[in-house]
Amino acid sequence: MKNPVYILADSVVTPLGTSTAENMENLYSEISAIKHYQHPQIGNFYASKFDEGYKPPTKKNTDSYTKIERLFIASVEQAIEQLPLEINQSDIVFVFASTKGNVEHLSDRSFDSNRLRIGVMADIVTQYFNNLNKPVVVSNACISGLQAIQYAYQALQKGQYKYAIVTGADCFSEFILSGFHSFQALSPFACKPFDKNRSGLSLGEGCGTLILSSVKPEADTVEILSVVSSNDANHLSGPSRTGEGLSSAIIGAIHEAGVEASAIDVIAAHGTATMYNDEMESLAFETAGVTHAPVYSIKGNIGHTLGAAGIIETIYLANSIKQNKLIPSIGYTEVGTSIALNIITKAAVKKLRIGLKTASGFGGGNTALILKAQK
Amino acid sequence: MTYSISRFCRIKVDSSKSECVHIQTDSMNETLKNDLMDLYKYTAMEYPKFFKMDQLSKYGILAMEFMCKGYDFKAKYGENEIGIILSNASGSLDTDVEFQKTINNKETFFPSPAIFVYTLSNIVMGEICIKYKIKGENMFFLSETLQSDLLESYVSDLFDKKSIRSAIVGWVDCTQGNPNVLLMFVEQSQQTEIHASAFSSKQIELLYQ
Repeated sequence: MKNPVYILADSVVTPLGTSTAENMENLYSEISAIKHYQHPQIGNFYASKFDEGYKPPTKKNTDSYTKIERLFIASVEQAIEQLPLEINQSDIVFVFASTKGNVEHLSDRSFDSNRLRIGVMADIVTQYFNNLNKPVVVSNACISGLQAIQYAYQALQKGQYKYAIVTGADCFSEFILSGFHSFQALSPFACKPFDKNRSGLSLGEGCGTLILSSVKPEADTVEILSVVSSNDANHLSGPSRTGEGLSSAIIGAIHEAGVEASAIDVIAAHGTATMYNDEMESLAFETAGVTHAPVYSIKGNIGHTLGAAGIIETIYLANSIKQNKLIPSIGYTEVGTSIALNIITKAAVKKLRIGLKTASGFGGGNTALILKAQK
Repeated sequence: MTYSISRFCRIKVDSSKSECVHIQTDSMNETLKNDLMDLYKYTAMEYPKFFKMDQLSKYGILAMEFMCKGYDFKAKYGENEIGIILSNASGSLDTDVEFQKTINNKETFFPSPAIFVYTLSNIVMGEICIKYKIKGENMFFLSETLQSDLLESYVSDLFDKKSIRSAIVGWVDCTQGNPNVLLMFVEQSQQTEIHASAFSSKQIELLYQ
């Protein structure tokens, strides 16, 4: 018998808001944190970035920590604060998701190069919390966040730990900006997921933290029903043209959750706003039989937060289901995929119970996760 | 249900000759010059894409070739039934440094997409999936040392819930041209198999030594 897995607490720290509540409010109000910037070589670009010198508040002194390490600490502290009781550190496993960790310090000669290794960075953050269990670190490109949840979900199901603190972050850096620029993947305006005139992605940064447990909380909660991954085995930097890999993950997740495809009330898409991604997703939703459900992407609000995206966007989805309120997909005006999707354009009250979250990434990975509100 | 390691490949820098690598599989025990071109020729594979890859991906593909020589696992399992769960310590750090060089100098600023695509830990896994058409569950863990317990428990869970029927599991690391690789092919135990050894953290450690 497998244990159920519930969301006990969450925290989101992004340029859109420094708490989950503030993020939700701004999502419903169609506010975007994406702004115009200039780079001497790259020129104009749009991204969702924290203000220069932004330091998230932490309980202990974190002056010696880097920006991403502080983000992890601040977000995890915020999530722990919401728990009604003190939990024993030995019952907790920390699970991290990040694609590039401290990469902004790569050319900084005074920086301890060991911390460029994401495993070391995770150890540093875990030690801050005096947790002695070996942290688990997932780094599988843009599906890292959902896969960190996948690991925690499986470990809690079989009772390996009582609690999992699943946290994901990536920071904006010249490294990442230059890379996406070299791919010609950056949008010349704030990105427009699923829109006919979309023209690439906008980068973002931030951190999301989920505390998961098999111990059922007293308040209304959201249960994770399934998480399934697959690989396209097709191309390193582009999704499959057919959406076969993603549809196989969605179909697998629906099967594992033991629900009907028709029972899905809302889809939080990956929706990066690149031509290929959004088109591929629409095909995958068609194949998996979920095009009836309203769809949105939050990339128009906070851009693509890479390794953090799966966690931040799962938190958004879980809260929207709990609050029975649809999140509008900003930047969308006209059908831009060969399969027309039911894109949400206005925040609206709707009874929501089951939600699907998807992600796809470089290296061909796809993940689908299904959530259900316990009301 | 119990699972077994039916094939494996270990590649590491030779302890006495640092310019050589020691390669061990179920049927091979060789010390060869650590030259990617020579090693490629040694496997007799024909895969021009190999030459576009970063070093980490090259060693991953070589280890697959050595491990699966004479073993047609694709005939036994469907594309979606094969999982791949890899890990390492360095991520893609060597390639990260190389990419950073293309943007450090503002006069010669010219980021290369061909390098950038390899600046992710999991690209070696993507390359293996493409070459061998592996479409099942995939996962990439990072840690400073091999987490054999983590690999055993995560992979066993995927088998137990029937998400996969076989898996490529292991550690693929490369720093400054020095490979450190252990790949294992894991499937359901069949007593008739001669090479089979139990898929356990102890056995993983033993092969990794």
